[in-house]
Amino acid sequence: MIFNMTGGGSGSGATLVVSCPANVTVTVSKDDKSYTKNSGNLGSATFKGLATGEWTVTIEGNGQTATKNITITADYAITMAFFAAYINITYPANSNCVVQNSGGVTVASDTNTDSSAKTWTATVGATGTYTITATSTSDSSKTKSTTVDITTDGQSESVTLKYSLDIIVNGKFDYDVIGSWTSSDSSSGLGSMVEHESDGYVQLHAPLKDSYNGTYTAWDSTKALPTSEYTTLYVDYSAVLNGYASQFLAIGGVSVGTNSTSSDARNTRAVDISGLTGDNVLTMIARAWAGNGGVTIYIYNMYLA
Amino acid sequence: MRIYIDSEYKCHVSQGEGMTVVDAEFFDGKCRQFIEGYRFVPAGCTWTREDGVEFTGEMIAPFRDYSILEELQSVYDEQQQTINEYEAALSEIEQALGV
Repeated sequence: MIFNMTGGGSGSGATLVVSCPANVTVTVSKDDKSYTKNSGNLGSATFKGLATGEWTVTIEGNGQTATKNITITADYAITMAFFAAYINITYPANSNCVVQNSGGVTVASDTNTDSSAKTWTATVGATGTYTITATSTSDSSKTKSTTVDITTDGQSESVTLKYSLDIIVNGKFDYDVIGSWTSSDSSSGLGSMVEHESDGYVQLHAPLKDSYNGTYTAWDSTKALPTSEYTTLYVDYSAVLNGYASQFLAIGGVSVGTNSTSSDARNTRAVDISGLTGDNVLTMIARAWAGNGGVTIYIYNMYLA
Repeated sequence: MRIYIDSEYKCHVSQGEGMTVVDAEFFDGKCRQFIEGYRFVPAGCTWTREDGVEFTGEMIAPFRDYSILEELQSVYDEQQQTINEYEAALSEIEQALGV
């Protein structure tokens, strides 16, 4: 609400101008006096000849009510609104961003022409669930959405939209995403997972224990990944293995094995995570089947999209 | 466990026309409802999702809500535990009776 002092009063009383939404009922009251007007299409109601002192100003409309108490010492003007809440949005470079209410109506929008992420604030005028969507201006298939629930006047929420979430970049884990690692299973303790950042890959290695027994070692991320926000896990990898397809990744109820029974040249594979709900732990696995030679997996990059 | 996959790589516990046999230890101990909520893409095969993204095997991924599959499996596991306890008790009785 904005209060503006517009000038001195006169012997016949002060003038109060109330600016507010259009076509609502405006009531001013003091002691046993009460005056009511409609704000009309221009959203303004003027009351003249008001005595100085404490007045209560109320606007009512569409089932909503807002009230302000003011002290009139001279001519007075105020602006009133039923509701205002704020959504602080960070979204990717070279993208458009829109905020839509539950009816699909766009209530705010923004454009980012920079080569880096941008933050802006959308003001919404009612309670409800809002959908915030970012779309790349160079590739419309790149889009990301999230929802925010607004329940109270003055509420402030922050969201960050990204088209993809990096897990491994050039052989280095993003520890803000995965936390760290704990060993979840080991039938032999002989497997290894080593981050070779200088070489550009994470190496999973599982030797054979002996000619009859394979080895299996698994590591779980200590942070669960926000898989419900994405539909696909991408893995850029290569594999050197002798024998059968080997599982090297698991996330939620999804299992990923190598692509063939022989070594895999470097390639990027997609993994369907669209059936997962909530956040899920990532598991890296070093596994060699009995009867095979050892297995070595090189993971260069991994991300969610 | 032996399962059967259809042309969409969806899993089944019973053989059907046109299905391919797969042995997958991933499904050992899993109930029918859990298994039949999954897609199994074998190594060397490719499945294309309706949005056009291609997935090569080996990939084992749920196409139904995984939280529901987990709940169904949990109920199944509890039932199996009860059955095992009853069978153990029956075995003790039989031994006691010399039957």
